[in-house]
Amino acid sequence: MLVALVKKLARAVGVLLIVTFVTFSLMYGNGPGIARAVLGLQATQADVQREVVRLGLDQPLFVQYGRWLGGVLTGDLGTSFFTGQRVSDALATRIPVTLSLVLITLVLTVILSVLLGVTAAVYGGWVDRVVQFLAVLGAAIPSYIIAIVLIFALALTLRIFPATGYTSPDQSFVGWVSSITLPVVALLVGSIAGAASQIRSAVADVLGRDYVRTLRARGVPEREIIFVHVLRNAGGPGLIVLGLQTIYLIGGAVVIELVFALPGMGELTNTSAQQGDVPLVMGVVLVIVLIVLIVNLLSDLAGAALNPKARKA
Amino acid sequence: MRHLARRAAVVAAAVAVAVGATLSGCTSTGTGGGSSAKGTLTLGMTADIPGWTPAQPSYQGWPAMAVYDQIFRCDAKGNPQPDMADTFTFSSDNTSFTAHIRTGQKFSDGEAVDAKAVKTYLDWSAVQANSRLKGLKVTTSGDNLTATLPSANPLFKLLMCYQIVPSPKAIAAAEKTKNEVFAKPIGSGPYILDAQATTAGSVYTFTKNDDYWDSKTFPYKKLVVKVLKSDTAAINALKTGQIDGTLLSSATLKEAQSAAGLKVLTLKGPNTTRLLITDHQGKVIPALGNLDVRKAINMVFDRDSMAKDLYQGNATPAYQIFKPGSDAYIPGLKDPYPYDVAKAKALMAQAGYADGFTVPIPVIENGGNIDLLLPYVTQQLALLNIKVQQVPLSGPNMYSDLLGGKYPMPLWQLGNYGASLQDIQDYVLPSGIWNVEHQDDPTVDGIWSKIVAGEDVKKNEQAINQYTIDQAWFVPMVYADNFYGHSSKVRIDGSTDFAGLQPMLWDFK
Amino acid sequence: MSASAPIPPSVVDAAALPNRASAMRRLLRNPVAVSCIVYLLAVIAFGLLAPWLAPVGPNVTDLKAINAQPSAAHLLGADATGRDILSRLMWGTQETLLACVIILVVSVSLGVTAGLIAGYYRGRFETVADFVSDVIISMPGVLLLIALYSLTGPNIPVAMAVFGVIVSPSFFRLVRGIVVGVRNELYVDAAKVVGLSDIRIVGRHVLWAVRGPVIISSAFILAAGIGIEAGVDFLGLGNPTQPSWGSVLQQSFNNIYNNPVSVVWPALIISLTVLALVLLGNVLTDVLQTSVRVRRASRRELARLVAEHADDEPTGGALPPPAHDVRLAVRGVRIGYPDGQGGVRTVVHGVDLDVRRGEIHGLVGESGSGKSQIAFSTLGILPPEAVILGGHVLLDGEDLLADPARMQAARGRRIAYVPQEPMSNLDPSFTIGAQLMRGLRSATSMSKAEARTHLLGLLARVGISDPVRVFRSYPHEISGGMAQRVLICGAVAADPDVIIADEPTTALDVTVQAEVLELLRGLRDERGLSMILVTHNLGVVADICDVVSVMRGGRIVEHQDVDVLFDRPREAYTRELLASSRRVEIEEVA
Repeated sequence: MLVALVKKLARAVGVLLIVTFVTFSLMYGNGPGIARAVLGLQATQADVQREVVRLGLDQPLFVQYGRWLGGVLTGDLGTSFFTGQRVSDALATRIPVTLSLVLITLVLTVILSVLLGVTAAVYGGWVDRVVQFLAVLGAAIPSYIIAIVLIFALALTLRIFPATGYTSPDQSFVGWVSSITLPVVALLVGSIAGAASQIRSAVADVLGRDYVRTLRARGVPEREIIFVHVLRNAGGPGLIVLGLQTIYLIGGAVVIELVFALPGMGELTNTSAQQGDVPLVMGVVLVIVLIVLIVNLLSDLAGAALNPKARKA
Repeated sequence: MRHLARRAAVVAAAVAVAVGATLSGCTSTGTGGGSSAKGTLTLGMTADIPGWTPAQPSYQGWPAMAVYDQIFRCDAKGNPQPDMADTFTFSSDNTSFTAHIRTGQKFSDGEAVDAKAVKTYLDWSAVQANSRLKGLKVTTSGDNLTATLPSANPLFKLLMCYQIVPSPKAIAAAEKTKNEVFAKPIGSGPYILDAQATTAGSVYTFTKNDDYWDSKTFPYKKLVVKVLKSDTAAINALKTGQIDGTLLSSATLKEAQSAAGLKVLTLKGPNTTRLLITDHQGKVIPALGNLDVRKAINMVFDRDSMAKDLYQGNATPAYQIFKPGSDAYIPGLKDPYPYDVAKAKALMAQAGYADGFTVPIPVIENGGNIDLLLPYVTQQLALLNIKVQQVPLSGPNMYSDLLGGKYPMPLWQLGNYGASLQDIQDYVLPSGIWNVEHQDDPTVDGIWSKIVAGEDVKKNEQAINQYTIDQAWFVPMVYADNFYGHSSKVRIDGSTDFAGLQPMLWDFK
Repeated sequence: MSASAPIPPSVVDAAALPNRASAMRRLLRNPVAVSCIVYLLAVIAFGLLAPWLAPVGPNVTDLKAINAQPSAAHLLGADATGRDILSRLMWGTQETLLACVIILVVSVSLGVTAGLIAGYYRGRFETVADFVSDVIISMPGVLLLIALYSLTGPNIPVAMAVFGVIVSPSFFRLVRGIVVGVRNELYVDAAKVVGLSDIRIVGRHVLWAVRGPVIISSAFILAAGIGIEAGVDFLGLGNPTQPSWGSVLQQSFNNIYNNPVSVVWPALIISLTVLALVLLGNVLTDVLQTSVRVRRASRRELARLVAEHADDEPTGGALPPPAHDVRLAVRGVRIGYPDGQGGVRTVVHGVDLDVRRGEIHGLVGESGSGKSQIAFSTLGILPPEAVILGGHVLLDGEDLLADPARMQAARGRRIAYVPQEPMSNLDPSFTIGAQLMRGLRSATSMSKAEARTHLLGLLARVGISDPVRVFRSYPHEISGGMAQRVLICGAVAADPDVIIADEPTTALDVTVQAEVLELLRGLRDERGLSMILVTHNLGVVADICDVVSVMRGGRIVEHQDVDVLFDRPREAYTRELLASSRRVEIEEVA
């Protein structure tokens, strides 16, 4: 088991290195362009050249990447080309925002989609139809359209929630809740749609297994069968579904952050990548890849805990 | 994006902008003060600040204006007014100025604001920030300071506008960092940054500095500036009272106009939408070297309809690129190239280009309304068989590509200035940033040297203007207005910005 | 088991693999699928015919029509530069469809190919492919696109190809999983033995198994592709000079305060098309998957169906009311399944059975004759979509079918089940002991300690040499033969009166078969159990049964003591069965 863990970690590090290197190379080679964007149109050629050197953009790819990597290992993620702010500071203010959005949506997704999925699989009938309908609807309507509708209805007309902005929980807990409600709902619809129907399938699949029938034949009450055996066996596939959902959520957060003017990582990504603010982009990539890897690791561990066969692997 | 500043309006934001014609009256600052002390002023910005490095305050540079003081404030025509320098004279040959630095002011770290501090800044800037100041020699004697350029520059006064000055200690600290980074703003301005209540990239909070020499011009005890990057987010915040003011775009203007409790400040025509035909020698596209072709291009645009329909009335037809009221502007100019497609076609045939030619025009997504203008421009040019290849530009290289010379005829909604010398420098001179092909022209050079020498400046500016019109170097279309939406609880009499893009911090009453 | 005489059409086994023709037919008969397909074809035509049908070109601007509302001149209105929205949507369809197709083609070619190779050959390729797949999944797609945008510019085909790469791991994992499963199937081994080359095996058999899920996923990927394309445009990474649904949506959205209605059209066409693809995907899932998702009848429908079939013809071979020594009596049980059109297809037409105390009653017949259905019905463990159209199951005189609570009480305690396939009937996530305990303690009121002792003893009795180790083990840690003994143990643990054994030896090796049969006989002798033994193997019948019923087409055609049956079968069908099995099976078993 320990060997497996070490192997997994080694793999994760490998993934991290490759992903960061690929991203870095994609942004490489735009030195003068970036310098000009930093200084503005008024700058002279001399100014631009000086900035290129100052930002280290005249160095070869591996040197630049190596420098960045070295910085990371000592905890220094560099400073933004455009604002001079330390990348770690910029991220520190933005990670909580995105995390609030993603984590809360995820938790609600888990609860609601498991509820809906299990009920749909076990009882069929109208709940099953609702789940199917939601799955289709949630997939069809882009999340930003849902966001607009929510803003119009609940923020502008009824004025229950603020239309934009983010209040951090240490400033005001109530304010925090109210500022993330609409963004979470906008993300939730699509998220539940996907997860509920897949969980439904996973549960239905388990329900159709022979051993479930045999347990019934032994006289085990249906309730116990569902809550102990079915859930346990559907847990593995369920975790995979939810793991994937997390990754999709991070992507979805980018768009939602823009619509609601939430100062999160997604919004930072968009701006800094388009501008060519390499340190910021690399910082964001690092954080996101780490999150994804951790999520994968956790879901693998949880899956192994649930499935005895996998523990051998 | 330090100097992208002024241009940023038209480059980075899809904003239809206008400047109040009331400008000419409202030049002096500090007179409107005297309104009673007020609570908090919350403003929205559509882009984050480019850091705290001192540079000319950018487009929407209210945070910089709040925390730093500048050597001179300028009026709408770009003439320096007292600020840190309470009395001063500029030499008539545009090479130097002498100023007396106001006494009794302090930076927020305790350093004194004196001639030495200003010199430290100017020396630093000339080397590290602004190569236009290269070679600037600065000497101090007591509270007086003299700065001399190595050679005459007619835009010297403009160059000195809004030079914001940080504490010399801050400059020293920045020089120790790799990128001349100013991590914290240490200035002597009307407000002080409240670091606790500030989240970079999201919200900047400032508290009033009561020791500021002109504190009565700033009635608000607290200033909060929020970053709201999307138009929709900004207008929603304004409507729900989360902010007191924000720039409006053509998309959100109607919303602000129809909402109760909101007022809209019109800033009339600080931008001229135009094609810049910079290849007048025909080196890149031979056809563009032909005057008749350039004239023909001028004639296929229905400026009245553009102003009325495309801009929904928020624009005025323009026949010259310069701002009405500026020195280079020729008052009462009749439309030199009236809308006449048949005549334009005849000119093209006369020039031997009845079959037209192909021209690439760059377009940046969400940049300066170009994506809204290009379809119409493409359609009209097609009437002359001129095929427009729309080239989308993106990524960090977009601006250097845009200005690199590959596209000899950019279409842009560019700023026009109260000080038209700025326009000439940027658009007309061979070295001008937007004169992307940088082709020499002896006529322009000749007139410009007279301006440098200080002869008949206004007349010569107009001469340059007339020349560009006769030579059809540009296709001016409309003066597009800017709009600023604000709560009716906030009073703004007008904007004193000499670029006319937005109200300055001291315009908020 | 060969059958030389024509056999009347037997009931279709609900788990049969639908062949291509029937799948297509079922698809076309489904109204949802048809409307989706019609809609999608219309959309494709909408786009392809744009050059001829669109009112104007996509970039034709009419300054007088800026922000025009829907009217005769502009059916869907015009945008902020005076361009006709309908035309832009039509011209933009090609862009959008192209984008989706690119995503699909790239992801399918990469993912499926990699999955096929990795699943079939395993080894190094699979390890590498897994790693690459992990890397791709960890790559935040949007981020990659943005970074790429700065490199390539707004080049939608390239961006979509990149997204195809990002999506391909899902195909890879899907296909690899299926191939790994199929690879171990017997028919692949058979093909190898026969000498088919790998490519033919993969091409013919493996691809065949994979096609269903891949087609289904493709529908969903296409649906997602439209959303992705619109999202990319919305973020400002699209090509501002090309119309596409996403760019029209983005432009309308930016202009929403000036022309709110203009958002509706692109949003609608995007949503409807995605909807159509997703619904189609759902229907394809039902049609192509082996486990058909059959709708359960509601209570009202149930009552209606039962009433409809109340007077169906009674069975042939009806028996008189059960005598007093009959433990379990089945009278006139009729079972049906929904036929998908509001009616029911009867699979068991009325069966009568008697099982006396201590009697082993064999129930024989070919696959699909309905014998397992009868077995399940006595336990009340028929699948949820099954409809019991009538009949009685009398356990010591009490009708279990009439009262579900009684059935629940009897299940496990008085009437128990021994299943066919040992491994799939044990919950892989729990230890043997845990499962056995749960069954036992549900059926009786024993304490934990009592139950444990009882079970350990029983495990020894059924022939397991190390009961404690097995008790602690997981199902995958024991052999098939041991698993079957565990299941038998579980069945007799609560000391039932009747055992229903459904082909208990079919899945076992021949040597183990004999031992298990011996075990069953021994248990019967010890405890006086009654047993229904469902089987198609007449050798087993000869070995262990006392009485035999022959089923065919959902009916009992003959019922005899076992000796009589083998000596003097009455029915022609029985004679056929005996003849063919003598040739194949009986000679094997002593």
